[in-house]
Amino acid sequence: MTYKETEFPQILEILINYAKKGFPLDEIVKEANKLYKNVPIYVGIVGMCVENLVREEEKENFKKGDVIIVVDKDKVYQGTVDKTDKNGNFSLKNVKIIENKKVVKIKFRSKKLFKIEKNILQKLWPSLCFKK
Amino acid sequence: MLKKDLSKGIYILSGPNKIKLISGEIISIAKKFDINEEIFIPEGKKIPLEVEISSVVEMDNEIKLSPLASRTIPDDWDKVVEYLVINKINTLIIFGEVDTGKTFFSTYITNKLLAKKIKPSVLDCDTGQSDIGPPSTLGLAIFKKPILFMTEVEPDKIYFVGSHSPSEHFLYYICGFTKLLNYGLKNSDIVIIDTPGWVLGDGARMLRNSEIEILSALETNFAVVLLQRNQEIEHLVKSLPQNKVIRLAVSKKASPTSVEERKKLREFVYKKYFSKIKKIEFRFEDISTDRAYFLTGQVLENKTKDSNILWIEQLSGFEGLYVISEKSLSEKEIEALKKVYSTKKIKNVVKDEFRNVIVGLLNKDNELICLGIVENLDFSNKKINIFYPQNIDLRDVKIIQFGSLRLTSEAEENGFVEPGVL
Repeated sequence: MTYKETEFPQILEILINYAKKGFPLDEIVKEANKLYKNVPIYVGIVGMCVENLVREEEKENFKKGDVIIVVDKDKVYQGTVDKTDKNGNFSLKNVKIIENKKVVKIKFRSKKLFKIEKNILQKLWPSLCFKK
Repeated sequence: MLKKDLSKGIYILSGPNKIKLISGEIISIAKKFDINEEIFIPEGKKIPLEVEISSVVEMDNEIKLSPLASRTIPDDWDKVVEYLVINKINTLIIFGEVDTGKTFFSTYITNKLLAKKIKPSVLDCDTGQSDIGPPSTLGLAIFKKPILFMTEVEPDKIYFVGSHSPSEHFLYYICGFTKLLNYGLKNSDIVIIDTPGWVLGDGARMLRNSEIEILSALETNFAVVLLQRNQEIEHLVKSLPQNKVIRLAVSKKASPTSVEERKKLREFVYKKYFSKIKKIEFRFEDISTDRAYFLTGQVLENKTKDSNILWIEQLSGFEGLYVISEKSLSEKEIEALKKVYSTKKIKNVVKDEFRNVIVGLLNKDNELICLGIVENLDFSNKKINIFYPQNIDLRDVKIIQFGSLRLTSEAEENGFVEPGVL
């Protein structure tokens, strides 16, 4: 059969599209999970909500407590609006910054290191890997 | 073949091997050997031999024969047959984890029932390790004589589930289960249901529970066999009247099969099924499709003059425009299509997505005639080319039912189709 029995994969596509725009995914995934927990039998509606979760907004409309994403030239900020002023400036707290750099040199001290295993299916379930 | 004297006792014989009874009396899996009957044991399979009196046999390889201290079949298996007869049970469903010998048990019970002049049928629901019919199908066979391996019988009916696993195919699995069960009930005295070894977790609980609900809905007089080592599948029968549940120990000789071995066995069956293939072309206008969006909408002319676009259909409502292209549509092409056809949604399929997809070929009554493998789609001549087993008559094919697996023309597993794509 080539119909989906669940609309869950649609949510993965939406997350991929957010990632392509450079958005940090942690807050988005948390919201998506919250939506799912609220209406677990309407996965299609969860997907529709997740798709509309992030919208472009005028700075004048930000108010304290809003979680916002700021896309700058080579940096993306995600944080909670802490203060705003009459001129539309604002300050953020709990800020995460994603910075795009072509090359970064890391000096090893006692950092925790992790690796994304791109070959995980082959390692865990080789019978599901096929010749292309 | 080598001649060998066998004294009374129990033996186990492994394949590949051939055995012929010259004189004496031998029983295997409740099937009594006929004098001069030649029996082939395939590679990876083994059978117990119960030599009732001193016998003479011929066999290919006596190294693959070893004596056993005791019978491998637990004694309480025999009581099941009496229970079935006394209680006039017409449906016996067998649950057990993988490698607990569900098929072996089904074979044993089938042969025992035949000896009592009862006509059994077996519904093989193991889409991954199918014995009756090819993988990705459910198969039903009505038995007239005892057998050693379920693979020996031709199915009376098969149903295409579309995948090796019922996962993500629950609805079609349940439709097939109901359809074949109903057929078995009408055409045999008792249906023995050999289920997949998926017994733990949400999906498994849901499926096994649904199977039982269907047995009730069809008003069968059913019983459930639990083949278990400890109490690992008791959760499946908690809500059932306990007089419907038969708990049995797993045969001592049930041995594990690895995931890789399972894949190889599956491919072996596919290769056998597609060992001699022919190609057939169907004109789009002569067939209907099932389980796919393709050919279910209103066919539209390509107004864009974009040579990348091969096929356009208008689907209903929010489903939007269905567009098959040589390569993925670019953002620009999508926007152009939205404008030209005044639609909000474009469902784009790349032509090659159809390649190697396993399909069911059905007649007008929705009965599966055989499986096939899509070679390609020819949009200029509006035809679909499909490989199929050459000895099958395809004159009645009216419906192409799409599956979720890919097979090469050499019948090797070649990946999956993402559900909802075609």
